[in-house]
This record gives sequence, structure tokens and C-alpha cells, in this order.
Amino acid sequence: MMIDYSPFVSRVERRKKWFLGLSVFGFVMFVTGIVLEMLVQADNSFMSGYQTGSGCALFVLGLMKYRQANRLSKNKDDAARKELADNDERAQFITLKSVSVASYVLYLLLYLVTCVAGYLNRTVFYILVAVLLTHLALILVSRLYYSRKY
Amino acid sequence: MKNILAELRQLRDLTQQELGDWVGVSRQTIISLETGKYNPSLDLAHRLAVFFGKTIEEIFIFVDQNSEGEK
Repeated sequence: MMIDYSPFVSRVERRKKWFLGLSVFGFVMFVTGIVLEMLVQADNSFMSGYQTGSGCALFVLGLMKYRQANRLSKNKDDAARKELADNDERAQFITLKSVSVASYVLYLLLYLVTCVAGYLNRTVFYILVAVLLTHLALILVSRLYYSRKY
Repeated sequence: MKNILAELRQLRDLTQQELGDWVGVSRQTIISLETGKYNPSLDLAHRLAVFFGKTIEEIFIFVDQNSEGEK
């Protein structure tokens, strides 16, 4: 069976660049977190801890994925298999269905939590309402865009 | 929707993995298609039809579930 490997290889190469970029971004976030912690010695220093932690996680994740993509770029059969698994239409259908169901459950939970938060803390209430409305607005805009596109 | 994928595959003496490799889907997708749990996209149905040298209608048999229920 003749397989044209060129699209798989070019996609793996693109993925390598993307993950390298993610790793660099994580490293920058990590370093700026440390610098900010040294410069801003205020009560909100916990934020720099959050930034260094998430930056470090992104750095490690980017490197791991880069190594995986690098391994795949050396083995064309594995690259083709991975590509098929990632783009398999049934797998994509299952992912879309899961995201859709999870979104509906999330809206309901968010609404209930917003109602409870309203009695306890007004700031949290407004933040949750803003998140809920922003998400709904984004869905409406996307629907409008895609209904015109297709 | 019913289909005769399993019969056609066995006639060609292919495994589900081999058929999946030919038409660019996973083995799990072929299993789901053969058991009728998953209906393929038009693109995949076309690739399968081309691979077996048949028309889509010959491989996939549309069953009107409403009229089946009335019987």
C-alpha cells in the first residue's frame, strides 16, 4: 500500500514549531513571574507564584510535546498513524458531542453557582455573571459567523 | 442505516485495521460502521464506495425508521 507521507511530515514539523513556541512562552512567563516577585513585594505576591507555576507547567508540557513530535518526525509510519488517529472522523464526532454535553451541564452549574454566590459575595456574583454572558455572547457571534460561512 | 461493509471486507480478505488504513480512519471507526453504531460522513462513504468499486447506495442501505416503526 502506497502512502503519501509528505502531508503527515509537514504537519509534524509545524507541530514541532508550535510546541517549541509554547515552551518558550512558558519559560518567559516563569522568568517574568520570578522577576515580578522580586520587584513587587506586595501582598499579592501569590500571583507571581501562580505565574511561575503555570509558566513552568507550560514549559515542561511544550518540551514533552516537542520531543514527542520530534520522535514522530523520524518515524513516518508512526506519524501517519498518529495523524489518522487525531483526524479520525468518529473520534472528532465523539469529541464534539462530549464538548457539547459538557457545555450544557456547565451552563446549568454556572447558573446555579451564580445564584448561590449572589447571596454570599457580590463581586464573585458579578464575575460569574460576566463569564456566563461572555460565553453566551461568544456562542452567538460564532453561530452568526458560521451560519454566514456555510 | 444498514450496510454490507463487513461482507465486502471479508470478500477482499482484509482486516478492519487494513481497511481503516486504506480509507484513512481508525479500526474503531470501521468496527462502529460495521455494527451500524456510527453513520459515516459523505466523504468517508464516498471513499469506501470508491475502494470497493461500488456506489454508496449499494454499500449503505437507508432504512426509514419512521416507516419501520409503523409496520
